[in-house]
This record gives sequence, C-alpha cells and structure tokens, in this order.
Amino acid sequence: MLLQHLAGGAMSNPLAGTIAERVWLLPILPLIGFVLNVCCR
Amino acid sequence: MTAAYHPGPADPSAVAHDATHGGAARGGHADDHAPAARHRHAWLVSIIGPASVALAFVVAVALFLAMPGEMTTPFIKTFFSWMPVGPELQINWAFQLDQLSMIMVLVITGVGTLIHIFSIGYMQDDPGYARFFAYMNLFVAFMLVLVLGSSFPVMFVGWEGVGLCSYLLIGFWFNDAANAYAGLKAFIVNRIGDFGFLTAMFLIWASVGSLDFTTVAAHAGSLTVGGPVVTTICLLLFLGCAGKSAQIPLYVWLPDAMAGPTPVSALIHAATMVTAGVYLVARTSFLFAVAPAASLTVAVIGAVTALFAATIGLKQWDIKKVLAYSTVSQLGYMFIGVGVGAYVAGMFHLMTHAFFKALLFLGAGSVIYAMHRAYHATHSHEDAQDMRNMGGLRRAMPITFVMMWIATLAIAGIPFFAGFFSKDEILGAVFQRAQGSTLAQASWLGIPGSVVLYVVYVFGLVGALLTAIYMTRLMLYTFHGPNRTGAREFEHLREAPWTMTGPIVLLGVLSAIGGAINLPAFLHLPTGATGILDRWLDPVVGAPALAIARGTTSELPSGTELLLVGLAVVIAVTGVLIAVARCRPAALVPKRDARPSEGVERVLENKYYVDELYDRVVISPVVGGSRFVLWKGIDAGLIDGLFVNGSAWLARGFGAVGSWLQSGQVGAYAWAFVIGVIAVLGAITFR
Repeated sequence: MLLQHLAGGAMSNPLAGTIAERVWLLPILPLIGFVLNVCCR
Repeated sequence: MTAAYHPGPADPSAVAHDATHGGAARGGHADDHAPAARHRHAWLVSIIGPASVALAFVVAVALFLAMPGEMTTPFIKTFFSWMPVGPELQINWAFQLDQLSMIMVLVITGVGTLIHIFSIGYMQDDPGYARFFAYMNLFVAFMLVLVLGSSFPVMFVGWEGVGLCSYLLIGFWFNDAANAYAGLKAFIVNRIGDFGFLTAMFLIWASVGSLDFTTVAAHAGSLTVGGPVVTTICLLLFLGCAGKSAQIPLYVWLPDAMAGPTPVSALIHAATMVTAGVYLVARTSFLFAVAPAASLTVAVIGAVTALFAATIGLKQWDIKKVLAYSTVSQLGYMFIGVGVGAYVAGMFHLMTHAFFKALLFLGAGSVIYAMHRAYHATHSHEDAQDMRNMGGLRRAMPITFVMMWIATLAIAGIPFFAGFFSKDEILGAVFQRAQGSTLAQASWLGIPGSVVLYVVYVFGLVGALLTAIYMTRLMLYTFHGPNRTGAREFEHLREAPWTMTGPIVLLGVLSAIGGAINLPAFLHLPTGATGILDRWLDPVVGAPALAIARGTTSELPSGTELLLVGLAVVIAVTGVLIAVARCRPAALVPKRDARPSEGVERVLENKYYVDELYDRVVISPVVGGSRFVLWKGIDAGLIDGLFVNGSAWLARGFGAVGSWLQSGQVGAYAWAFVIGVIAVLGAITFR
C-alpha cells in the first residue's frame, strides 16, 4: 500500500502519544550544541 | 603540502611550523596562528559537540523501537502554521516520521556521532576547534530537518541549510584562498540545482495545489502517466539532486570540497548530505513512478556518472581525491537504483555506502594525521596526502590498515561484505527492469527503454570493475610495499589515538556485516532473515516500485539471478587481481621524483580537463559578459552614465541656462519681453 496516499493525521497513527511526539528533539539537540559551541568561541 | 588545499589535521607543532616557515594558513582567523596551544574551552567543546549528536541518536533509536514496521500511515507532527498565504496555500512547519525518514535519521545521527568522536582527536589542537564543532552540529540539525520535513518547503529549508554548512566547512581554513574558492564553487554549483528544486516546487503547487508530500502523493494518480507536467517536475527535481549529489554535469564541486577537514569529507561529502538527492527521489517516488522518461534519465545520468568518475579515480594520487571520485561514482549507483524504481536497493546502497565510505575517509584522515605529524617532526614540506609519499604504512598503522581493507572489499563488491549485497541488488534490479517494466516499454531520446536499461547494466558492471581496481590501487600504494615517506619520518609514523581508531573499528564492523539488513532470497536463509529492509520500506516505496515493475512482484529466475551474482563477483575479483598485477608499490617513487604523466594517464590525472572546459565555455563567458556588458555597459555606462550622471548633467545644463537668463540687467529683461511679444503676435498673425 502506498503510504503517502493516506494522509493520516497524527492522532490516528500508532505513533500518536508515544515518544514520536518529541520528534522535534532530533534537530533541536544538535542545534543546542551549535549555540553552546558558538558561545564557547 | 598541496597548493590546492590544506592537507591535514592540526597539531601544535604544525601550527608553529607553518607560522615559522610561512606555510599555508591554518586557522580561520588572523590570530589563529599565534597560539599553538589548544582552544581554551576544548574540553567543554569535546563534550558538547559529540554529545548533542549522540543524544539525538539515542532519541532516534527510541523512535525506531517505538515505530511498528507495518505502520502504513506517516506520523505527522505539526508545530505551527508557517506560511498561511490565503486559502490556497497553507504551509505548516511539520515533521513527517515514517520508515524512510527513520532510516535516514539513524544513519545521520549514528554515523554522525562516530565522526564527531573522531573529530575530537583529529581537530584537537586546531584554534578553530569550537567553530568546527558549531558548524558540524548545525549541519546535523539542518540535515535532520531535511529528512524530517513533511513538505517540500520544510525540506528545502534543510536542503539550503546543509548547503550553507557545507560551504562554511569546505572553507573552514579560509585564510588559504584555494579553500575559500572551493567553498564558493560548491555554493554556486548547488544554486544551479536549487533553481531546479524551486521551479519544481512552483510547478507542483500549480498542478496539484499543495506542497505536502502526503497530499501530492494522493493526487499523483490524477497526473497523466508520462505527461509533460509530471515529467518536467521530475526532471527539475533531479536537477536539484544532481547539484546536491554531485552528478553529471554538476559533480565538479565535490572533488574540490576535499579542501575541508577530513571529518567533513566523511560526514557531509560522503555519508549524508550528498545522499540527499537520492533521498529526494525516493521520497517523491510517487511522482517518478508516473514519469518513466524522467526515471530513465535518472538511471542514465547515474550510470554515466558512475563510470566516468570511476575512470578518473584510477589515476588520482591524492588519497582524498580518489575517495571523492569514488563517492561521485557510488552516488551514481544509488541513482541507478532509484532511477529504475528499485528504491529499496538505492536506499540500501545509501546505507552501506555511509558505513564504508565514512570508514574510508576516516581511515584516510588517520593516515594523513600520521603523515602530517611525521613531516612536521622532521620539518619536511612534502605532501602528506599524496600516495606516492606513503607506502608500507601497514606496519605503523595496523588497525587502520585492517579496517580500510574491510571497507575496500565492501565497496569493491566482494562477498559477503556490505557493499556486495547492495550493489548486487541494484544491478539485478536493472536487469530485471530491462526484461519487463514500464521503463522498458518507454523510450528515452528515441531509444527503446529496454536497450537503455541494458546499457545502464553494462555501465554498472564496468564501473564495478573499475571500483575494485582504483580501491585496491589505493590500498597497495598506501599500506603495502616499501615506505616512501622517508627513513626519519617513518620513525614518527604511528597509529592515531583511540578517539580516532574507535569510530574506525565500529564502522569496520558495520561495513563487514551491514549487508545483513537486506540479505537476498537466493541465500535460502530462514524467512525473516532476508529482505528486512524490503519489508521495512514497503509501506513507503512499495507501490511506486510495483507500478514501475508493472505489478509483477516475481524476482528474476533463480538461475538467472545466480548467474548475475556470479558475474558481479567475477568482475569484482578480476578488478582486485588486475590492480595487484598492474600496481607495483615497490616501483613507485616519491612525488618529488615522479615524472609527469603522459597520454591517457595525463588526461585522467587532469580529470578530462572538465574544469578547464567549464572555465572556457561557461565561467569565462559569464564573467566576461558580466564585466563588459552588465558592469561596464549597463551598470557603469547606462545606469551610472546616462541615467544618474546624465540626469545630473541635464539639471546642471538647465541651471546654467537659467542662471544666464537671470542676469539682473533690466535692459536684457526688456529685450526678452519685446522679443516674446513679437513672437506671440507673429504666431497669431501667420497661423
């Protein structure tokens, strides 16, 4: 089945309510590293 | 030391040595030469830099464990409305988590963590230590935005962000003009590709009315198969891919990008950023599946690039340049895979390539690090990256030696290393599609698709032969035979610290066993052990792949498949044997004593003079046109001369006439009055 054909909302997804809600952590963590390293310069 | 770019890692003695001898600039700032000591916050940066990426990897693993393999709908997390442009265009800042983005997230954060750890040792005494890790962290953040974006615009933010970081890191030692120009070259060439990406976005919105991946995918079925709109969209998207992933004709920036520190080459210009184009084709597979001509174009460009870059790799002496052309070539294989609709095979090779190419670059970095320290210990100015100055390093660097051989066997396609499975899957898919698929029935520039695909298959095979040759050559000249560094220098050659060898060993393990993630059916292993990646990615790319294969899930007949595998193995082994027979490390002389190459060798060493050709055909005319037409003609002549200065001259002229008339002599005014009256009366009389 073509996954993208089904524009499923977050609430109907098996990942809803799991750690996937914190997916924003992925880019934020290295971004924090960037900011701190700039401060260390 | 090459004139083209900075050769290697930083160490205190190197800085002092460069400064003393007026050598190439090392640091990014004018005062970087002064302190030969470590960065004052080096210990803190050594924690923050790698830990921030390692924590992201921990989150990625947690997400992976939470994600059910059979999940059929993407998880989309919307954070805020980014561009609410009326009812017709609503773009949200949202991330899309599915099996495809999950694979990329694991590769980026996993391999990224290892390369960050390696960088602790490699960059330890560079004055720009904190700046380096800041850029590397920023790159990882943007790369994650690129793969997680749920729409074209969000992906484009990451796409541009990684381009910016690539520019900053290529020119990291920007006091050397060659490094700064290399960064600029990468930036400008990528803008050409970005033009394609942006125009494709505009066309998608005009024809579908949305830029979200899920919505566009839902409407892809309504597009005319092979129609001009979807074909144009896919070709424009591929133009963006060609820029980012260094494919013909936009590959020229990647070899020059080796001007950056070696960990940058490993992370950005081998394992992650340059594979963004492959990811984009897989992400938009629902479009490419209904554009057979565009898909064939992807496969053809990939095949030509794979072969072309491999031939150049045969005659490079700079160890990083060999690996750079190898990367261009292997990216070509990935595009062959996604071009023929074997999206899983393309992504599989993306993964295995991330392992063994990151290892090869880190291994090369370890070698350069050792060479550099040895030369500085003896105050020598020899080139630390030229393989003619190496040789016999296996005795001094046994761990790097063994690990790089594992990576070499993997990239060469020797059973049963990781690259063997992924490359074999791509070539098998090409052969299968040539026998029956929508691509075989389509035509490309008037040539039947099946013929095109068989040619692509042959190019892939020849490319595999050349890959085995140039990689074996690299290993023979670097690690085997007598040492050519120098007797005194050899005493200073030694293995790198554990922060550098540790990541190399881990990547060595992944290069050896990474193929297990998608073992082929012909191995007759228990169900569940084979095709793991096939099943994992099926919800995302299964339908487009099936559409291209015309609904047939059957694989090649067992006998045919074994024959193709056997042929690929024979070719890989033959390539290794040819290199062993032809390359004689004992007969090689150091770079300073080497004769200039001649004939075909010279052409290959000079990369077919493509840079020179681009300079004559594109750059010089554009610069000349800009200088003489746009600058001196339009800017200086028309705008400055006619409009700005001309209007000033005109105003001054009117002012001069006015001031002449306003003389203050009443007699002159009376004469003017009389002449005026006569003129008016004359006009009334004689009209």
